[in-house]
Amino acid sequence: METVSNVIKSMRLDFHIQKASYKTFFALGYALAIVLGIVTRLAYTTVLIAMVVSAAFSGFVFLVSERNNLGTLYGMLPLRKPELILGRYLYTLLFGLGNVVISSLLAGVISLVTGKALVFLDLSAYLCAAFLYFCLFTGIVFPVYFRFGFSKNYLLANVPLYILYAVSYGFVRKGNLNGLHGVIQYLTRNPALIWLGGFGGGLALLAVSYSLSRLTYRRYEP
Amino acid sequence: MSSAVEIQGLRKSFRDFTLKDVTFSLPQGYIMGLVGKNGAGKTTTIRLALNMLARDAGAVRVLGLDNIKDEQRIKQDIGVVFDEIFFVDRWRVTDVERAVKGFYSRWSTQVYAGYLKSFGLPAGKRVKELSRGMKLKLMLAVAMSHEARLLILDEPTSGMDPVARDELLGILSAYISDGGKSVLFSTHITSDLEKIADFITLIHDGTVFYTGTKDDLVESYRMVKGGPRDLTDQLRQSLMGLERNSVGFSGLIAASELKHPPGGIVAEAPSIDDILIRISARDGNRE
Amino acid sequence: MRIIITNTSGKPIYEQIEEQIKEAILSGDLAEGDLLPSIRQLARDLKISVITTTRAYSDLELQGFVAVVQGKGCFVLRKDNELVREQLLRRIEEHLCAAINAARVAKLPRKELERMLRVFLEDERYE
Repeated sequence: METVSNVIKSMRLDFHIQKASYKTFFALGYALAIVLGIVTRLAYTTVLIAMVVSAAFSGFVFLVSERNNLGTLYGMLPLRKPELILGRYLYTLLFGLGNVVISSLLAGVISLVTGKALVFLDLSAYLCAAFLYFCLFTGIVFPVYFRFGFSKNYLLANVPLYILYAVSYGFVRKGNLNGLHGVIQYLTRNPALIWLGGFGGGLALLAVSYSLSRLTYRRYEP
Repeated sequence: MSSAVEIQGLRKSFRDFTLKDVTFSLPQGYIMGLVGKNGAGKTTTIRLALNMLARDAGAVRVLGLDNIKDEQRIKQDIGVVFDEIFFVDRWRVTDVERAVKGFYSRWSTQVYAGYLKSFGLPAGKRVKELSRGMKLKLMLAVAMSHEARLLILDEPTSGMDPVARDELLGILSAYISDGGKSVLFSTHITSDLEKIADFITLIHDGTVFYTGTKDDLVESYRMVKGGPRDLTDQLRQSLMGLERNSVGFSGLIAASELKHPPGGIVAEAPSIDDILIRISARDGNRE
Repeated sequence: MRIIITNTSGKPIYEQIEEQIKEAILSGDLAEGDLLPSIRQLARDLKISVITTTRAYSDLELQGFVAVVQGKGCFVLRKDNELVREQLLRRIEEHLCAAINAARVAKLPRKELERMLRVFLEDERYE
């Protein structure tokens, strides 16, 4: 059975693994988010970009693991794989939430720069959607990486998301927003649902993904 | 005397290679060399012992405990060194400690610092900036800083110059000097073993050719050399890895089969290299 | 105490150690009660296997030269006991036989050989 202390230790180890590269990644990612926010004069772009970048970065730990032979390190440490898996999901959740906070701060910065005030409702909607996206992305790729590894799979792992983009794009192009109107009206009247949908949905996605990883992970290297 | 490592009937099949019936035991307080040519099965054996690979059959006990049931307990007490470094390349030497020390209940920061100092590992250097020998020393420092009672090293000296190898052997020698710690290391550089191994397990083609003390191994075989006319049929049948040239022949023979060496024949103690080379060649005598 | 191992003598390492320790005892370099280096320390110093040094010390103990005390170490025993004397006699015989064989190969006349022995006895002031 997973012990709490080992799960926490695994989270700390994930932090150390990420820490080695996050300065560059974040500098680029957040810089990009800010620049695009200023260019489009829209703080919400910043939110989206920041969350998309952090979603990509959460999968990065698998790349670093593989490139640096950490499979051997994990094989040596007194740490069981289920503990590692749970630790990574919890760490990623914290990471995602942390980035939600940072994104909102960055949005605030953009808003100051552009002089356009932030609308709380809109900001919430974007943050929740971004968080949902973050959870969807990591939720899809993590089980793939846990079972099949990173290097040959990171393109394929993103396929469901490409499909999602394509579908949403098509959906938006078609202008089929009339149906959405009703939904948007309803949500505007019940903002709590936005938060529930965003964070609750995100958590649910992560939980499902965790169960999948936990059931299908490969204990031994092939 | 208790065993540091006890392996019984270990078996693992791959697509083009099978490890079978591997049985050997390392008593506590000694150094065992796992020898064999590349691809013989040494690394596989080590990974199976560490439960990094699933075994098909057999039993493994490490420090008296079952290597699957008590895997977590065992790993508190063992240190591992592999030929490729397993730390993030951007980590500094101090980051390495921060990353792993939380997992070990008996980690000592002073001991780690002591090893960094005596190995000459600068605390601020990044792993990727270290030479091959320094990387090895880093893994070793980590392995020896949590009161591990067993060190397992997989090909630690491959690619290292003789000076660095000698240093490593000195470190291992000091490590077992209190009699309570043991070392298992795999290598294809047999000259390292000539110096400090107490026990040898020779793996050939996926099976154990020999396991026992190094002294007994060397005493169990003889290198036989003679002139072209000294090669009798009887002798030819018993020789392994027979090599012939215009001025004579040489081959390896079990000492028990050479009770009365015919005149003109020279019989001398083989080196471990000799044994390894000749038994590998025996599957196709060189003429 | 001086122990030097050579890889070229053809003699097993444990034998070399035994011989050199015996020589040291017989020549007086090692006195009764002297503590020999621990099995593990000696193995480290000579860069050889612990099993080898263990064997050398056990053999020496069997032959009556040393005594191994649990927890303390390996101590040199009194020099003049029967076994030591026997060892010395055996050594004399070995060396004499070696000299005779060499003389035979050199085709040295017997009288010459005897003369050589007398000369050495004189020179070395053997009483």
